[in-house]
Amino acid sequence: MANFPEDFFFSTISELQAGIKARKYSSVELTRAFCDRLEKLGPRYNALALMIREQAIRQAHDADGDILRDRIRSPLSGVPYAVKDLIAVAGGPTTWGAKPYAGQVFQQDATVVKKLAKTGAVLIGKLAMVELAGGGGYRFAAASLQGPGLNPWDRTRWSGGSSSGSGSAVAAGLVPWALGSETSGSILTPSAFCGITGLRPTYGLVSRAGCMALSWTLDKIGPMARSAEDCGYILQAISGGDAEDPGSAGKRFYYAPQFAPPLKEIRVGWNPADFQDGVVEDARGEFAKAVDVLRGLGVKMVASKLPEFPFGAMVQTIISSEMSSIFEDLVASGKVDELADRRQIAGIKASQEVLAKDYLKAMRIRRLAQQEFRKLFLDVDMLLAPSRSSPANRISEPLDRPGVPSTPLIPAGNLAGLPALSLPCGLAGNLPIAISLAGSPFSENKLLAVGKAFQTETGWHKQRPPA
Amino acid sequence: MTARVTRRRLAALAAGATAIAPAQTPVEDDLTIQRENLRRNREQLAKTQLPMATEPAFIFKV
Repeated sequence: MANFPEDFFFSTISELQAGIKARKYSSVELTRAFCDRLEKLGPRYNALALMIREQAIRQAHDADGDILRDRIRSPLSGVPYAVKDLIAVAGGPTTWGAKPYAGQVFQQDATVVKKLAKTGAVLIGKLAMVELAGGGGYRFAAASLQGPGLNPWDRTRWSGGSSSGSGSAVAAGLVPWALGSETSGSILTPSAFCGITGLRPTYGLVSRAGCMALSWTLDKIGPMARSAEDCGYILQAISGGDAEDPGSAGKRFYYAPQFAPPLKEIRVGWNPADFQDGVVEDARGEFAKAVDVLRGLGVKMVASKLPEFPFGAMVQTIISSEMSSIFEDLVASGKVDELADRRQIAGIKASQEVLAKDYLKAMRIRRLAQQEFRKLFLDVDMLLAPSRSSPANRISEPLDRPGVPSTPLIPAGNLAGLPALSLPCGLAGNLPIAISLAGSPFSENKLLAVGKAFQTETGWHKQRPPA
Repeated sequence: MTARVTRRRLAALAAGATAIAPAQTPVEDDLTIQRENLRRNREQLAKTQLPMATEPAFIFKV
């Protein structure tokens, strides 16, 4: 049985698979080691929803058999991973992080889980999340069946939401990578707070069949991992058309950074004020260094501004409206009152009162916003902004406290269906901070190319929390 | 009338209660706050003037 040092658990997907190929350890040994770690340390961060050990060992045996026959199915073959608990895995509970659904069992795997099984990736568990992905507007980080997601960098801080467990499990080296989901910020926020790399794919690029719906026109599934390169491998495995998902774009993604345009031809739009007035003071220095690194890579930094729309009001109205129909039965049955966060309960109840004309208004403005983004991307290839304006907040602090600047690129990018990549860019007060790059639809390869160059130059993505 | 509560139900309620943060506001206040949020959103949206021809992004394909 291989005995792995602590550092080993922070390896990238490529590094882990290289060890299997070189027969330093088997996929079964790797899987057992990560299962032990996730089972032992997952509860320390309130990150673990469900262990899937036996099935994982079987998958790992299969992967070892393939590798013995020199049949490497994909860059993910033999490497363990875990999924957010809104992604169905047949036969076990899929709780959506919420007490009313604690006993819910699906008979079919979600499309992304099926796709990953075909690539030889090894599913070892399901990870905690904010209840119902937080669509009702929760007030406290404790809005989850597993309790508040605790940040491995400082357990008095939040790991972010709603993919809380995915953020903390990857950051603490409990899994090499995980799947999260984003309706408006739920991949980018925990990735930024936990110091990992997160990729929100273009709307429709990854199937949501078998995943909890919060907002049909906003939901996306995406990777949370150690590097931009890892995110590329994962997205390649999970992307593709799916007749089971009405929002599917019917497109596939092939990770090919070598075919991205040279960095000196890439135009990055940014608003310097976003990195000064819009962020907490002790993060400004690190953000300035990150912008300098990007400039040093040779990309053209172009002054640019987001089109002016009420993005926050739009995204909240759309989520409330679509959620009101999705969770109508939950409200009618009274089980909504079993949720952990009172503000969230009230939000879901209040959503039943949203008027059709308000939803239509938001969706009509959304049309204009999408048109404006199309024009904007004629001038720039991608937009740069802080992923979040501040590092992770304290667990005890209400999330609606005043004085926290908003980050409009999150709702704006989600409304326009844009892909975005969150890259760690340093520490502020010993907590991770990150920048985000958002590109035109289906421009993931370009984002990942810039992300990889940035990470090669900085190494911030390799920083890990104190033991 | 005495409400009958099973031990299983009590255990479930106790487990659920641990996840609730201590400083929650009364339920009615939360509902008022959320309704006020919806009203503020409506006001924000109303400020944007739209041409009649602008159709909603119903079939959302990017």
